[in-house]
Amino acid sequence: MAASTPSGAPSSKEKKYDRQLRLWGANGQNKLESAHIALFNASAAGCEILKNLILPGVGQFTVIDDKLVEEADLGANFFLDEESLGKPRAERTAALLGELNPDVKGNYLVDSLSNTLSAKPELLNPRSTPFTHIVIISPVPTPLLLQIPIEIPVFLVNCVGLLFTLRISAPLHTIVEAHPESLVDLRLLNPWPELSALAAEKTKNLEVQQEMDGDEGMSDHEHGHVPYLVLLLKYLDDWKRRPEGDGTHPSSYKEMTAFRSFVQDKMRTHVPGGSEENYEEAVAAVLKHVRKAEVSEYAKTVLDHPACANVTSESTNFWIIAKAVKQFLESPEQGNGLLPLSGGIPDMKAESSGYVALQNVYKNKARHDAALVQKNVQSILSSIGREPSSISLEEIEIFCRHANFLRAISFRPFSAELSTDEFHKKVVKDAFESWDADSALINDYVAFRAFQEFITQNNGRAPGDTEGPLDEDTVEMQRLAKAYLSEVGCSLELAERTENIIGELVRYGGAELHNTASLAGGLVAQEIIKIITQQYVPGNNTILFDGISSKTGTYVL
Amino acid sequence: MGRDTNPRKSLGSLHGRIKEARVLMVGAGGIGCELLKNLVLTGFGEIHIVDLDTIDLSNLNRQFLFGMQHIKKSKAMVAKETAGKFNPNVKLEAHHANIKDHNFNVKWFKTFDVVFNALDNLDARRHVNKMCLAADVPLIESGTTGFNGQVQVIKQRTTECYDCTHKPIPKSFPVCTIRSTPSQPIHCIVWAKSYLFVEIFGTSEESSPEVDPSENDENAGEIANLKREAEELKNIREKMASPDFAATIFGKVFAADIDRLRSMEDMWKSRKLPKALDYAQISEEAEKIDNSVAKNDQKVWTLAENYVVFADSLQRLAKRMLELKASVKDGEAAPILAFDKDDEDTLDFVAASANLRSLIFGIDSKSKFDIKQMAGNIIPAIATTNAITAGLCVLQAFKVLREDYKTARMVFLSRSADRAFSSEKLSPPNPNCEVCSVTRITIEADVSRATIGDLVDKVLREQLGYGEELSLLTKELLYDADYDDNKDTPLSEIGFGEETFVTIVDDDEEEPRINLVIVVTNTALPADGEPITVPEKFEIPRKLKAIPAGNGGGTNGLANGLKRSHEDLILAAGGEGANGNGNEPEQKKRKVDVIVENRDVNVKRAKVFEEKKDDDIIVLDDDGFITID
Ligand SMILES: [Zn+2]
Repeated sequence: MAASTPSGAPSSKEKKYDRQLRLWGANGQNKLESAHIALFNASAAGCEILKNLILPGVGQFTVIDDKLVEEADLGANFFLDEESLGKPRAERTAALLGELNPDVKGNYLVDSLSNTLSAKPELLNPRSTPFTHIVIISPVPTPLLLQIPIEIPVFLVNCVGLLFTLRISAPLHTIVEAHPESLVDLRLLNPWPELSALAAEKTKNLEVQQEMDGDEGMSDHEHGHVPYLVLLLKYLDDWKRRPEGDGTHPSSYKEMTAFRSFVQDKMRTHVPGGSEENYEEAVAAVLKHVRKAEVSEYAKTVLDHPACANVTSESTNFWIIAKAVKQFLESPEQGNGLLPLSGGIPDMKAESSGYVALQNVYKNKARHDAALVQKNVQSILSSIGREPSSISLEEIEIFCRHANFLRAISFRPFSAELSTDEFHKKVVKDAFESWDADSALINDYVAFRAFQEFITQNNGRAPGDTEGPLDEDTVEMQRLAKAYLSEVGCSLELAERTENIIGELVRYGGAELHNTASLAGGLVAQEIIKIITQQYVPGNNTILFDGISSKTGTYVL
Repeated sequence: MGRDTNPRKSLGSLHGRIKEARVLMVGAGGIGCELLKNLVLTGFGEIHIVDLDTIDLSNLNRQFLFGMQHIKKSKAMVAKETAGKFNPNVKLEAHHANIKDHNFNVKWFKTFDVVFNALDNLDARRHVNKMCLAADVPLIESGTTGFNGQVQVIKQRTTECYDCTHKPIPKSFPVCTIRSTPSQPIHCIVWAKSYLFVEIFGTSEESSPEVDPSENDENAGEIANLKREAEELKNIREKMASPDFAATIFGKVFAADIDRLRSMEDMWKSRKLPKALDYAQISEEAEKIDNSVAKNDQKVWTLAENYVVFADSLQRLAKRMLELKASVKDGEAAPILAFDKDDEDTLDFVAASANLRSLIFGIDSKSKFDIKQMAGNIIPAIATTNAITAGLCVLQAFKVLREDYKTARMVFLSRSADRAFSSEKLSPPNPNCEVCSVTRITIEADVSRATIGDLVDKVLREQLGYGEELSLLTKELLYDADYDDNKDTPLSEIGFGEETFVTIVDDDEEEPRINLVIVVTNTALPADGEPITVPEKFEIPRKLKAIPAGNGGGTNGLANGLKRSHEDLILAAGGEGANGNGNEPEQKKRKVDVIVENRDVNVKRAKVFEEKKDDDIIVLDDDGFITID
C-alpha cells in the first residue's frame, strides 16, 4: 500500500457544488460550465438572474448596459453599492457579481442592445457570437427583439412592481434526462423468457406449506419473502389459465380489481401479524404496474420528428441515438414494438439474494437492449461518415434508460407571437374560454402585450414612467389592450383583471421592486439551467407571475 | 430620486409599516441569505438573525453572503456584516446562538412583528412554532429540497400551525438488522456510521436515532452477544497507537464477528450466509493500490480498494485522535470524533467500512458519492429554489403586516414550469393539535422553592378548578394521580429552567378540559411570600367529544371553541352527555353546522392532497384582485 496522504478530499470545486451535483450530475455541470450568458440591461432582476447562474458555476457572463448608476438603483439592486454611484452600471455590476464565484469569468460592455445590433453585429450573429444564451430585461421595443437571430436562445423578462413575465425563444430543444418521478418499467404483461423462467423457478412450491426442515414446500419465512414482482408474474399467469377465464390478462378496471382480490386471497394468514408484507406490496402494485408497455406521447413526438428520420453528418448525438432507438422499436428481431428496457426495479420486501437475482434479470435485459441500440448507432454513424465508436456506450445506455421520457420542444419565435399568427390567436381564445378565465393569468398577458406595444410606440419608455399625469398612459394602455383583443378576435371589453393589471403596471412606471426581482431571478435562472443542462423540462414558452396572489401561469404563445 | 423610490412607489402605505417592522429571521443558510437580502432591500426596519452554524465550503454554491474567506465563521455574524452594507437605514442584530437558548424566551419573541423560519431541521422548526404560538406572533415557515419548496403562514388561532399536520419522523431500523442481519446498503451504512465509527472514535453510550434498540424475547440472546462484541471493540480502541491497529479492527469486525454470526445456524436458514473477509489475501492485493482511490467518489470500489480506503482513513482518524488526546489536560473529558458528511476522513471510513460489510453479506456496494448522501441525509440544494422561496416569504409577510390572513397563502413550489408553484388558502387550526389547540397561561415561580405540589394544589386545583385526575408533563411525566413522587421536590431539581413549558392534561372522565400549557418563568419572589404567583380565576374550555375518525376526527376549531361557553361546546360535540338544555332546537342546529363545516374542511383537504399526489392539478383559488394602496 502506498504512503498515506493527509486527506482523500475531492477537489474543492466538487465540494462546493456537491449539493447541486445531486440534481444534475457531472454531465449537467459540464454543460453549465461551458455556457456564456449575455445580460442586456443590468437591472436588479437581470443581476439576480446572473447571481443564480454564477453561484452554481456557469462558465462566463457578460453584462451589456449603457446607463450610469443612480441612487434608485441602490435601493433595488444588491449588486451595486454607494461607491458605484455615477459609474457605468455594466462595469459595477460585473465587478460585484464576479465576486460571487472565482471560478466564473465576468465581462462587461458599456453599450445598449440597439447599438450592439447595429455597431457590433458579430456579437449577435449565430456563427460568430461568443454567447450561448441571452437574457434581456425589458423595456425593449419589438423591432429590436425581432432582430435577434432565432438560433440563439433568448430569455426575455418583464419585471414591474409585484409582477413579472418570462418569454423563452430557443431553437429545437432536446432532453434525455427529464427526471420523471420514476423510470421503473416492469413489463409485467410483456415478460421476456429469462424473467418468466425466474418467476416460475421462484414460485415452484408457493402453494405448498413446508412442515419440517428439508421437506418439500415453502416455509412461512420463504413465502413471506418472495418478491412481489415475482408474485404478480406468477398470478398473472395463473389468472390467464383460470378455467373460467378467457385466456387474457386483466385489463378493464373491473378485471383489475378482481385480479387484486385473486392475489390477496393467496396470502398466508396464519403467520404472525396475520398478513404478509410482500403480498400487500403485490396488491398495492396491481393498478400501478400491471399494464401494457407503451411508447409515451412524448417519446413518439421525438421518434416521429423529421430530425430523427433525416439524420445527417450535422445531426447531434441525440438524433442519431433517437434514430437507432426507433430502429430498435420497429425491428421484429430487436424491440418488436417495445422501447429498450430502463432496467431499474423498486425496493421491495425480499431476501437480498432473491432481490439481487431479480435485479440482475432486469439489468441484463437493459444491457442487452442497449447493446442492440449501440449496433444500430454504429451503422448510422458509418452511413453519415462519422467514426462508429464516436458515441460512447455510456451515453447510449443513459439514452435507453430514459427512452420513454425523451422530449423535443419547439419554442415559437418572438415573431410568430408578436405578429399574432393563427396559432397564437387560437391559444388566447381557448384560454379565454376556460372555466377559470376570470382569474387566469391570460388577462395579465393582455396587459403585458399592451405594455410591449406601448414601449415600442414610445421609444422604450414604460407606461407610468413620466412626470406628467398617469391617466393618459392608462387610457393609452387600455386602448392598446383592446386593439390587441380585436386582432385576436376576442370581445373588446377588458376583463376586470386586465384593467387592474394595467393599473398596476402604470402605477409602477416600469420600476422593479427588489423582492420581485429576486423571485424572478430564481425562477428565470432555474429555466435557464434546465435549458443549458438539457435536463428537466423547461416552461414553454411564457410564464407569468402575479405577486399579489402568488400565482403563476404558463402559455404557449 | 432616493434609494427607496421604487418600494415607495409600488408598496404605498405598506411601505411605512415595513419601515417600522421589527422581524426575526431564524436560520441564515440557503433561504436565510436570500431572505435577509430581500428584507434589507425592501426596507424592513429592524432585523434579528439567529443561527448557530458556521460556514462550510459546500454552502458557497448558494449562500452568497459568504465567501471563501468566511469558512468556519459564524453564519449569523457574517450575514449581518455583508447584508448590512446594502441599506444603512436598516438596523441589524446577529446572534450566533441556538434558538432554543433560554434567553430567547416568550417575552423576547413577543417583541417581533413577524418571525421567519429559514431552518433545516424539524426540531428547531417545532420549537419556533411553539414559541410563536405562545407569544402570539405570526410565523412564516419555509423549506426547500432540490427544486421543491414550501411557504406557510402560521398565526395562532387563525391558521394551522406547523404541528397541526403529521410530520414524518426519520426512519429507524431494528438493532438486529443493523448488527446481525443487514439486507440493504443502508443497513451497512448505518452500521458503519452509528456503530463502528462511534465505538472506535465516539462515546459508545450515545444512542443513535437511526437504531431502535428495543429488546424482545426473540432477540434477547442476540442482544447480549452484541453487547459483548461492542465491549471487545472498545478494548481494541486502546491500541490506537499500535501499527497493526487497522489489522486488528479488520480481523475483529470483518472476520471474527462474522464467524460468530455464521455459527448462529437458525439465523441463516432462509438467509444467505455471510462470508468473513480474508485479511492476508486482501491486504496483499491492496499493496498495488494507491491511497488516492479515495478521491474517486463516483466509482464503486473493489474489495481491495475498499480495504485501502478503510486502512488509510482509519490511520488518518487515529492520528487526529491521538493528537487530540495529547492536548487534553487532566480532568477534561476524553476527546471524541463525530461523523460529519463533510469531514472527508470520517466519510471515507464510513464509506469503506459500509462497503466491506456489504460485500460480506452479498449486498450491493455503493459509491462514496451515494454513501455521502445516504449517511449524511443530504438534501440537494440550489440557489434558484431558495430565491423563489425567500421571495414568496416576503410577499406573505406583506399580507401578515396588513393582518390579511384571508388572502395569505400556503405556497408549494415544484420543478415543473407548467405550474411553477401552486397555492392554497390557509387551513384553520386542527382542533386535535396538541401544540396549538390548547389554552395557555404564563405564571411566575421561584423554581428553587416552588414544588409540583404548589403548582397542582394552589394553581390547578384551587384556582382553576381541576379535580383529582390530572397529569403534568414536560418531556416526561412529572405528576399524575398515581405518581406523586415529585410532589415536594423543588421545580429546579426536576428540570425547570428560566422558562419551562408544562402541559396539563385533564384526565377527568366526564368533562375533561382541553390541554393547558403553563409557561413557568423563573422569578426571584420574596422569600417570605408564596414561591409561585397565582393567576386570576378563569374557566378552561372542555374538550369536544371526538367525532368518529374517518371524518378526519375534526371537531370545531379552537378559535371558535374558546369563544363558546362550556354548554355550547358540549352540544357542539354531538349531543352526547348534553345537559338539560340539549333539546333546544336552535342550539341543535348549531351543533349540526359545526360538524358539517368541519367535514367540509377535511374533505377539501383530503382532495387537495390527492391531487398533489397525482401531480397534475393546480389548486386554483378564486381570490379577487387585491390592490395594495
Ligand atoms: Zn397546531
